[in-house]
Amino acid sequence: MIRRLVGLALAIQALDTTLALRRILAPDVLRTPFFDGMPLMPSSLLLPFAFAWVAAAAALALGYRTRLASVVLVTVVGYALLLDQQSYANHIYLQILIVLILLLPADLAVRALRWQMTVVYLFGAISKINVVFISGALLAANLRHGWLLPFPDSLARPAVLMPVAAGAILADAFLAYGFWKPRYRAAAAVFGLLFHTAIILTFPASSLIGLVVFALTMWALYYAFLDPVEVWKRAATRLAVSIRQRLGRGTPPPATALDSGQHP
Amino acid sequence: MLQRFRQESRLAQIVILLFVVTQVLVPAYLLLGPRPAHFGWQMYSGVRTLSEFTTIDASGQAREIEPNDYLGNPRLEIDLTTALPAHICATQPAVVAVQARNPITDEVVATPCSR
Repeated sequence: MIRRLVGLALAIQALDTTLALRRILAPDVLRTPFFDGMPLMPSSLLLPFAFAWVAAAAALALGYRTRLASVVLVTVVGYALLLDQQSYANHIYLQILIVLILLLPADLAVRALRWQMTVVYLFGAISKINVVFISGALLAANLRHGWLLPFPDSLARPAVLMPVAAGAILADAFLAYGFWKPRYRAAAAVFGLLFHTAIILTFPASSLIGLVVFALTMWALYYAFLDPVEVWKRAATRLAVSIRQRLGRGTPPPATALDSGQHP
Repeated sequence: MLQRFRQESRLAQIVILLFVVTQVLVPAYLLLGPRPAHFGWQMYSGVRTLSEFTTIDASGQAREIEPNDYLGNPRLEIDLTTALPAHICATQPAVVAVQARNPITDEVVATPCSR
C-alpha cells in the first residue's frame, strides 16, 4: 500500500514539477543551482522527461518491475530536485527517500520508513518554534488566501492565530510521537488524516498540488505503523463485544497485533 | 543459520542507526541557519528576511525591482543576495550596479556590474 500511494503521489507530482521546470528552464530566468556545473536539461526534453517520471510512478504504484521503476524514479526525480533550488520541494525529497528505502529488505524498510515519518513531523514541529510562526503571522498569510475555506479577516488577530499556531506545533509533535505508542496509533492516524485534509482545504490554491502530494506521501507512511484491515478488525471486535455486553454475555476483546505494538 | 541471522540483524541495526543519525543530524544542523532551509523539513515554519533590490543605471537613476519576476518558481529557501545581482548585470546592459537592502537591518550590499 505504501508503494501504491507513493507511486500515485509521484505521478501527481510529475505534473506540478513539469510545469515548474517549464518556467525554470525558460531562457531569461535566473538560475539558482545547488551545485556549479549541474547539467541543464534542454526544454525539448521536458516531455519525455515527464513521461518517464509518470510511467515509472505508475509502474511503482501498480507493482510492475518495481526495482527498475524505483531506479528510474530516483534518477529522474532526483535530477529534478537537485537541478535548481527553485525545483526543490520537501515532499519531493521525501518521496525520493521513500523510494530508496523501499529498495531495502521489507523488515528494514518498515523500520526506516517509521523513523522517516517521525523525523519529518518532529522537525516540522521543532522548526515552527520561532517568533514568526508562533505570532501567527505566517499562518495568517496563508489562511487568508485559503482556496476553499479562507480564514475571515476579522479573526486574523494574535488572540486567535497564536493558539492555532501552537496547535499546529502540538499536532506535528503528536504525529511524531503518537504512532510509536500502540494505544494512540489509530487515533494518530485519524488525526493525521484530518490534519492534512484541513491544511489542504484552508491553504492557498497555489500550494494545493504540493499539499495533496505531501498528504498522500505522509499517509502512505502511516502504513509502516498500522494496517487498516487490522484497525477495522479491532473496531469490529470491539463493536461485537459491546453488543454482547449489552445482551448480557460480555467477554473481553481478544488482543490484536495493533494492541501489542507488533507490526502487522 | 543462527550466526547468519545475528549478522543480518547486526547489519540491519547498523543500517537503521546510520539512517536515523543522518536523518536527525542534518535537519538539526539546519535549524542553526536561516529558515526555511532545504532538506530540513521546515515546511511553512518561518520566513527569511527577503532583500529589496534596486538597479542603478549609467545616469544614476535607481529603480526598485521585484525579485520574483526573475524566477521561474519562487521559493522561500533561496537567498538571492548574490545570484540576482549577477543575473541582472548579465542580462541588462543598461544596469551598472544592483543594490540589495535588508529591510530589517537597513544594511545595503551594492554589486557593481563588471563588464
